[in-house]
Amino acid sequence: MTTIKDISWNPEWLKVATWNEFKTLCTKHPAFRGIAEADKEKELYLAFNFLTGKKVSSLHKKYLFL
Amino acid sequence: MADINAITCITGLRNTGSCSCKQILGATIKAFYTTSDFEFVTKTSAQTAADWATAIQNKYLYPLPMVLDVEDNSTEAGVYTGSLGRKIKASNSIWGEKLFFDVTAFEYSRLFSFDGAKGRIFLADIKGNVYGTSSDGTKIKGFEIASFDVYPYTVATGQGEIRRMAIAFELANYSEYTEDIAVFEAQFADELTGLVDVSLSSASWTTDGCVVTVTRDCDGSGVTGLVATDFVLVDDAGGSESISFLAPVSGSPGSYTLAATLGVDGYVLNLKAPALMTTKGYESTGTTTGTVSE
Repeated sequence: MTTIKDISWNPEWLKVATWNEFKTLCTKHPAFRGIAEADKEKELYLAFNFLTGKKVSSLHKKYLFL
Repeated sequence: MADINAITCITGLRNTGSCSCKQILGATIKAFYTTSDFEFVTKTSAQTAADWATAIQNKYLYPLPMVLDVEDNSTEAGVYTGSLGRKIKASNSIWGEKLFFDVTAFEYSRLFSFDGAKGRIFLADIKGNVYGTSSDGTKIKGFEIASFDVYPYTVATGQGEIRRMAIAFELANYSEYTEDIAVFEAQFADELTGLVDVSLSSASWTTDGCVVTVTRDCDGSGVTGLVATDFVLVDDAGGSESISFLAPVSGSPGSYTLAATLGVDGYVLNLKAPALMTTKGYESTGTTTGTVSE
């Protein structure tokens, strides 16, 4: 099964990607299908933060306690 | 003033003392066709595998298959024998080789595109040496080719024999393979391979992207390991679209989920030019198109 680690990210896109765009695109794609719905937002946000270095303050507090 | 009939005498003889180092030169195991204008700018560059790979990706350099057999295709120097028995060299010898390959029909038909080509050629020998020429002692080129003839499969007449194809060449410029010869070590040369033609197909176009499949033309197998930055996506008006990521489809080698935020429109997807791809060694034979509809 394809996992998040198998994905080849486009660094140019990551530079301009917003959280909403990232979430919309990623939730629909196979690499994220195996993640339980309850964990999906957290996993997606962790991936978004790790890949882009960008923060969404409310989600950052919720998942990374900052 | 010199007389109008004055001739130029041989001058500048070079010293012939040698060191104790050994350089063993062997038979050709691989040849590299290059475009006429291609050259390595230094010996260091010519001994760098990455520079050879870049030249291949930019389509200056074409590795031919591994050689199975070599025949001498040289022409002996012309010798005039006087009536009193004295011999004088009347014309220079010509370096030529006939290289035989055991190739698939796929490679066979493609090698005929080189028939009669007028470029240059590097030779790699079995001892890891590469042969080229340098007129200035710095830049290294392949030898200029006088003839480059591709021959059809030989006939195999029974068990234990195989069909081989051949390429015979003669070098054009005597000074290039005599006083200007450049022989250098490049152990990697026999491992270099040419670009692989691949074909693209696509399906399932939606506003989130599509599924693209990339297969090798030679055997139909899927190309794995491609990344998002290998591809270029434009709308049908030529406007660039950003590919966000590429995820391989499980259980389907060569297929990828390509993610992009698309509107209702027609799209054209292709691999970038070989030199611009992140994953090296492939060239697309054409685009694949798709339409995102409401």
